[in-house]
Amino acid sequence: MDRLDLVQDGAMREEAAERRHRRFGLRLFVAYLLVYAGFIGIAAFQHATFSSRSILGLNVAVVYGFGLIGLAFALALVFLFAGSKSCPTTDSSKNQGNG
Amino acid sequence: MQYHASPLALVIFLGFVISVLLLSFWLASKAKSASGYFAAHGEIPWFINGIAFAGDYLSAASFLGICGMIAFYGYDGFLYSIGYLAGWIVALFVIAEPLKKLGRFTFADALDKKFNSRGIKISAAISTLVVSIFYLIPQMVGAGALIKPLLGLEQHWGVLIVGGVVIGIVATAGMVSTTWVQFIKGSLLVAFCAGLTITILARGLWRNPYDLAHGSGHAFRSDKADAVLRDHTVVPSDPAWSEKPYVHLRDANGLVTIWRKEKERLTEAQYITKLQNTVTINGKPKSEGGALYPVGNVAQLPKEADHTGPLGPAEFLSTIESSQILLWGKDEIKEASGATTTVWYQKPTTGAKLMVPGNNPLFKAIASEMPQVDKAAPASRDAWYKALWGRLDFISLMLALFCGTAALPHILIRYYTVKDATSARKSTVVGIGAIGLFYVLTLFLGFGAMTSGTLDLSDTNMSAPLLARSFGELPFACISAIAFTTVLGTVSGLIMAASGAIVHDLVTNVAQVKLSDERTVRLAKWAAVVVGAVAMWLGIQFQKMNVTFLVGWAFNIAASANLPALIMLLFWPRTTRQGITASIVIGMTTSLGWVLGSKEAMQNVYGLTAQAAAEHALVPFSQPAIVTVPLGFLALVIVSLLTKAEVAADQALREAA
Repeated sequence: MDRLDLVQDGAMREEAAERRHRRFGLRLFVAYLLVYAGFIGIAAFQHATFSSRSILGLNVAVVYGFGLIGLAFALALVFLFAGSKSCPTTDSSKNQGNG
Repeated sequence: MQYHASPLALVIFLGFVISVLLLSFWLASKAKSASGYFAAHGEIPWFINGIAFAGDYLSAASFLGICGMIAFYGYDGFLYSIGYLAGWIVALFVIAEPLKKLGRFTFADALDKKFNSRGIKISAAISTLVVSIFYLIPQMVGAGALIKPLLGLEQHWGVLIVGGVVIGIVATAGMVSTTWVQFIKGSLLVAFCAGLTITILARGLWRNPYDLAHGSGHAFRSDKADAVLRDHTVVPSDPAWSEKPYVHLRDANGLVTIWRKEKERLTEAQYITKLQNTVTINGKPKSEGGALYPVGNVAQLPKEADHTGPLGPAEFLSTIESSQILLWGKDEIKEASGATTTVWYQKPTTGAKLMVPGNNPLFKAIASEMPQVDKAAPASRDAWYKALWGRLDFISLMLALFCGTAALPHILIRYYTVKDATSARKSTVVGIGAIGLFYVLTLFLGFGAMTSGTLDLSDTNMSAPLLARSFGELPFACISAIAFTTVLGTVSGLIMAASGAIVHDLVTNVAQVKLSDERTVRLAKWAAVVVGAVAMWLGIQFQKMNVTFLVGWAFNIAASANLPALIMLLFWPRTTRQGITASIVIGMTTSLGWVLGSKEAMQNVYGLTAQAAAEHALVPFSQPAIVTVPLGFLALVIVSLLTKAEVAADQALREAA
């Protein structure tokens, strides 16, 4: 296997990892969408649920709202760490390629 | 309310604004060319870039409008916080990563790469122009809300000052909002709001906060009718009042006030009467010092306490939930004489009601059950429809906020300008963290303002600066200065984007007018002046509205015009250029038309009374996204399928050649 093959092979693997990561991102999006839709659904059709107690003496509406903000941050973190694990060499090699 | 300029506040304010402007000019001169501007990003650490995301995204509207809406209606304003942050999930996971694969940075770039079509360029440029202008309106309104309490000037002066300064900057020098300036603004805004929240929690809740309002407060009476009538005489009023629960009373000093009848009791209201050019406020002509009293207090704390002492974050919210807050309802009466009176009446509201969405007139439908339909009674069907439209309005807003962020023309650029993919993602995490923290704080700031005794009933947008004023002139000046520089930065960025769309896309590319560099620059500056002037005019027209509600409309239009095209371009290979053009044109025109034909526009922009506005509204609810976003998708799919044959023929022709 000469050098060109190695480079091509690496590029293909990198491309596959990128694609996997993008698909993972879409899955995270769907997960968030479901939780967000749940919030809207409760607000519009099960409004009384929002007034019931949950943790720390707060009602469901406040905890769910804070939860949606926290979840967005958590998913962004998950996406970041999943990305750095699946394609550790992507960035440096890409930079060389473009530079 | 009457406002007087405070010299200390003014000095701090001007010092801050001028130093940020000088700093941004200095940094901009270091990054002279556009390429220099982008190249600089390669050297900027991901953390700085992440906070700069927050500086870009957290406009004055987020700060002023959301706090104001929470201060007046409770949880409803927080819905915007939730939606604006959720939009980042769409932007990051659905748009940013696949767009990067195309090797393009913006919507227009990506469209250009795939199809080199004049129709797309025209529609994309016009949509950029429309979205930018609609996003400019709330910034201008916000500027007015900042200037009024700071300088004691009327609201339209704030609009004119911001517009004038920004047009001056853009037309003479051009202003590059560098990453460092956005970093400074973003971190200051979040840090100051965090500080303000800590002082709110340390102050706790007071049953009677008028002493906090620097003595300008007024204790509103609510008493048995005969007790009130002992020191007041009834004044006859216009027949228009006969169906309304109010009486006009004259006190011993001859001052005429309006009181609301509630069973056996009379409660003191506040009012503004406008008759031609004379304005009377609470019985006194405005020119002789008539003014609304500041409001906002807890009517009843748990266990009949007067003061809670310092509270933890969760404790603060749960204490409000089990208290009773004195809110104010609003009524409008048009007399036969032509005078219009706006009355605000005391409306004690349980904290439990304020801690769930549905208190704002916009969303009140969601707080009540869907009514039963009785086939024999047409009124019950009307009620059922009203409840349904209210729910669709709410769902539509949440959809627009979710989809709007990714569809704004300028938001994602910073994502692509750090040195590699991991840095971009790290920046986004920092950005989402900072923005999320800020949005969590809005709930505390809003409820803090609601109970601060400083609110101005005639304008929700001033709540946050007035809250800061209840802690002294220094925090007030700082918050106003930070918010004002945010407005300047956002406005100049939007005006540059809009003038770029006119000159670069419409004149040079579409009309194919060949211009020398010098003339291009001159034309761009004139375009900036025109766009700025239009935005100033619109800012004055829309000044009565809550700014975050206006931003919500901008998100509706952006989502309807751009999102279907953007998503289908990335994920549907059969998309054609005609399909894209159709979806942009249809999404933009329907959402813009919907917004301008809504009840809210009729009432607040065209000046109809609430009742007339409801009768004349062209659409059943105010947020178009739930109709117009699917319409954009539909237009794209249908037109793409219809033009598919033509595209295939084109391709065959090209291959044959």
